Amino acid sequence: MEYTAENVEQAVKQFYLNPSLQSEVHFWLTGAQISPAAWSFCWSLMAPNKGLEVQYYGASCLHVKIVRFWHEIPREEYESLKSKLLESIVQFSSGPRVILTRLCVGLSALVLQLLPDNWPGAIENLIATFQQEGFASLPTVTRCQILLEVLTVLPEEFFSTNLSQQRRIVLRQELTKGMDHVIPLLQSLLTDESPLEVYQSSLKAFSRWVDFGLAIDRSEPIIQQVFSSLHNPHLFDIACDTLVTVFAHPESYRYPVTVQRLLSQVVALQGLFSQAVLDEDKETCERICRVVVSLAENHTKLIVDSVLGPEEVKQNTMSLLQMILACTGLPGYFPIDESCSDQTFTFWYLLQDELTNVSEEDLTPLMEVFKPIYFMLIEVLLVKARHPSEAEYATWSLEEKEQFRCYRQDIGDTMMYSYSILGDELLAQLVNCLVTLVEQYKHGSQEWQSVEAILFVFSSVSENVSSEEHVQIPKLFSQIREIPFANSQQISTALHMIGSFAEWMQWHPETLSYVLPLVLEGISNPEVGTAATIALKDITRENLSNIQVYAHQILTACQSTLEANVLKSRDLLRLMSSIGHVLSVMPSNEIMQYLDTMIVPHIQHLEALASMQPCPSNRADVHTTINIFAWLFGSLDTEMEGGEQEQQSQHQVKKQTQQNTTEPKPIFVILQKIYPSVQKLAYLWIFDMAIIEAVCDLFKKALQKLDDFAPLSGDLTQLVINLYQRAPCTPVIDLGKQLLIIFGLQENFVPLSKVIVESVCSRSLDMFNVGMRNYTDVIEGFMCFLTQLMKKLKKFILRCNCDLAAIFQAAVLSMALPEHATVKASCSFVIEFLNAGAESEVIRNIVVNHGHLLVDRILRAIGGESQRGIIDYIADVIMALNKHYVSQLAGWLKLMVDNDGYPSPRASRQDKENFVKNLLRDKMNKVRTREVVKEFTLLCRGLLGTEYAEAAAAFL
Amino acid sequence: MSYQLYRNTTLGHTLQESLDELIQMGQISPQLALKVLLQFDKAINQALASRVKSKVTFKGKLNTYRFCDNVWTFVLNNVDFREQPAGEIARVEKVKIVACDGKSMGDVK
Repeated sequence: MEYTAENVEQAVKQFYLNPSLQSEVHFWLTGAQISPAAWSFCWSLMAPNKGLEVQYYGASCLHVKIVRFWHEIPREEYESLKSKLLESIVQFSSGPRVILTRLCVGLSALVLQLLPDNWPGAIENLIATFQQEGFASLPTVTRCQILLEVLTVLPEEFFSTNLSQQRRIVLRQELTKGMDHVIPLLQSLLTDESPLEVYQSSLKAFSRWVDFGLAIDRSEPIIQQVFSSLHNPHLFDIACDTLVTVFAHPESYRYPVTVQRLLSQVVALQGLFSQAVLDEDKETCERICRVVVSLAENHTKLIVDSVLGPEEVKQNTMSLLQMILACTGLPGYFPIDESCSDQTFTFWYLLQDELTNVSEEDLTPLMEVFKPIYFMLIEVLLVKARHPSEAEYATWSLEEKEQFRCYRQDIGDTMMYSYSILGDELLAQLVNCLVTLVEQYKHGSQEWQSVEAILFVFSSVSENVSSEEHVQIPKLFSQIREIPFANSQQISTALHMIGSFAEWMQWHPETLSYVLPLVLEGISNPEVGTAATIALKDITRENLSNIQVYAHQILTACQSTLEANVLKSRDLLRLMSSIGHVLSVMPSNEIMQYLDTMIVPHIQHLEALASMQPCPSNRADVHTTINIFAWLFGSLDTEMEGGEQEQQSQHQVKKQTQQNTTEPKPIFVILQKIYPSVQKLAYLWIFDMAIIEAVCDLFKKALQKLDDFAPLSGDLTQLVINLYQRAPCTPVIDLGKQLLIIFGLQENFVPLSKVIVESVCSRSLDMFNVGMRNYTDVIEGFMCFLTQLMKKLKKFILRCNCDLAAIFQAAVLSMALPEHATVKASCSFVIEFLNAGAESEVIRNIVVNHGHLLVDRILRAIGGESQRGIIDYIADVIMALNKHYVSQLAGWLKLMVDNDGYPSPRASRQDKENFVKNLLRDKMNKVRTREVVKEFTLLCRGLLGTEYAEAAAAFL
Repeated sequence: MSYQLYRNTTLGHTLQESLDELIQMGQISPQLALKVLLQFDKAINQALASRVKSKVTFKGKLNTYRFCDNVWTFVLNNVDFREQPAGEIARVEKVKIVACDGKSMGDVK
């Protein structure tokens, strides 16, 4: 259909009337817009008798044409286009507003196209035109508003248009020149005499010119006027937005003196702010807060410098800081009663950051000023961190609760930053505060929330507290015992706080006697079970060298909790982890005594589960019960975990005493008892990945801890083989790999190793015949398995009865899979295999006979069939080929050179010859080989020499 | 300009793979692909800075660290990741952390 005004008009109407055709019509209209015909039909569409949508489409077309298809217009038509556009603007001067705005945007685009040569002094010219009395018989206010609209969108258009760097420089100069005319205009319009709508438009235009780069020293008189407009309720919002733009401009830091002068104006907003707080006028509070924060956030250096400056500046700065404190401490709860105190957090962070950058000799006088401010901040935050009453909190939505949680985290972070300013003085202040609050709380003159908030704050600063701190934190912990806890929220926070000091306790073990009773009480209370088990786990893990004296106390409490069976499954697992840690420091005979009483019920439960048929209702129970043992094995006997020297030496002594006895390790004893049930469960739930994963995890953890696994190795091998035969999956193959690596070559295990290798290989090869893409994760596991075998048990694998040729071909096939990790694993195996050919005739023959398949796969990958991200792995395979199979490789590559259009139609014969030459020349240089391959693959993909390839290459 | 390190994420990789494919098929030009990539940098930097509400803490044994060209690199072992206040998410044997200063993002050229 031809692009005529009538057809386009019909199409626009169809677009709005007929939703089913919308995408089709949209496509056609886009075509119309970019056709040269649009230059003429756009005017017809804007005729007064047309509908709003049609007029809007016409105005949009005009804008698009000016911006993107300017080259279609001959120079001699520039002037008539300009006049026509101005006429249309006059035509729409009284509305509709959307069309007028679009046309003003079009005029701005035209200005940017015509500047500087084809419309010299365009901005000055426009201002003069619209200021002419009687221009197009428009009323003064209308003329003014159109002009301001154009001046508002002009800087916006400058930023949104796609310009070359050179053109941008030229236009920036031109617009900067234009500012000489814009500033006096805005200044003359921002007066009390101006009509409200003109004033509003002037403020908007001013903001855009500030964004463009109007320096605040030049515009100071205007900014003063903006401040005075804050007192007009109709201008307040827009004036606040303008001030935020002014202070937040990245260049404003260059004018410290101006900012200091403006500071007094910001400080003068205090009265307005206080009144708004009293009136509970949230919106006014929020806007003033934004102005204050934008000034403070963007001029922290100036604030730091000013507090030691002349008296007036100093006073103003101090008042500003007080205002920010007032914003942080707005009355009520965030986000219900107020929603802007969070805006100030960034400032407090930036301020402390600025202060930490000050040299030491300058810091002392500054600290005298800023420390009291930060102390006040702490007071304020302790109030803001408080929870509302339970009744009120219950009325909050989930979203509000989540916002409050995030807000408290931000308070915690701000406290942490404050610590870097106040150091241990902060702790002293918090401890004093806690003592007073607890005293008042005990006498009923204080709510539980205030005590909870301060405990929360302690946990936020815990990470910064030095291990040598020995004055305040002990006071904190002795105070903890005094608190009559009221509810689970308060207890949970206390427990989190205790856990957060677990590392500090390593150096202050006496504290354990204060905190453990509370923690142990917590683990029996399901409401605070999560916090209590986290705290206990942290304490036991970090304090292995101190925990022995409390071991009995802890284990007895754990036992009662286990018997009560009240914890959630995740908490229960965590508790098992703590039990493992504590048992690790005990003599082995005692370990068994405790385990017997604690573990027997779980063993019985496991047996019971193993005798049930799988059904969804007992799935979670099976999963948790298996994991209970896995978590216990994970922490019990943790001598390998590193840690402090003292701890290690203690472990070594303990290990030796254990080794002197002939008793089997506790894990082994438990494993023997649970093995039949676990095996049964594994078979019952063979297709449930989560349960199989838990089973494998249990065995892996046990294998890591046991030196002599022999008595169970036969059974476990059989389990691995059976599971893998029926349902191949990565956890099982990983377990098999671990068995082989640990025991593979032990004499009594060799026959079992052989069975594992043969069975895993034959079952894995089957996957390649039935939709290998569905098994890419298992194939990845299989390739990693093979790589490890080739690295560590090369000779052994050659003795196995495996079809190595089929394995090699399978690896080549899996190099074509889309997943990077699978390709990487396959390439690693292929490289090991190729290298092994240097020593093994069997392998060498396989490579020589099937190598052409590998090279074909490599070339296809380079040619563009595979993602670019795997090319380095491919290059490494070429390097291995180049090292051990030079003549064969040259032959295979020759076939590629002779095959036209292969591996990519973009690579000419000459390109391919160069590629081969470079490869063969740099065969010993890994970096160079990768470069050669990378360059060739870019060529094959049509990316060579593009900036995009450069940009992306470093990250692929 | 924004940091480019998020190109080295699953999302970044898949985007680049798609762009590569589109170029190879002649659907888009390398210039347009570059623009998309730069837009991705901008969007992901902005989104991660302003839209992420959750907070995760982690703790582990520091194996190695370095500070080079304003980029911190840490390698940690046995790291516990924890979401406040819900509890552990994962325990990982080895973690590499690459960190840039969010504040100086505006200066990166």
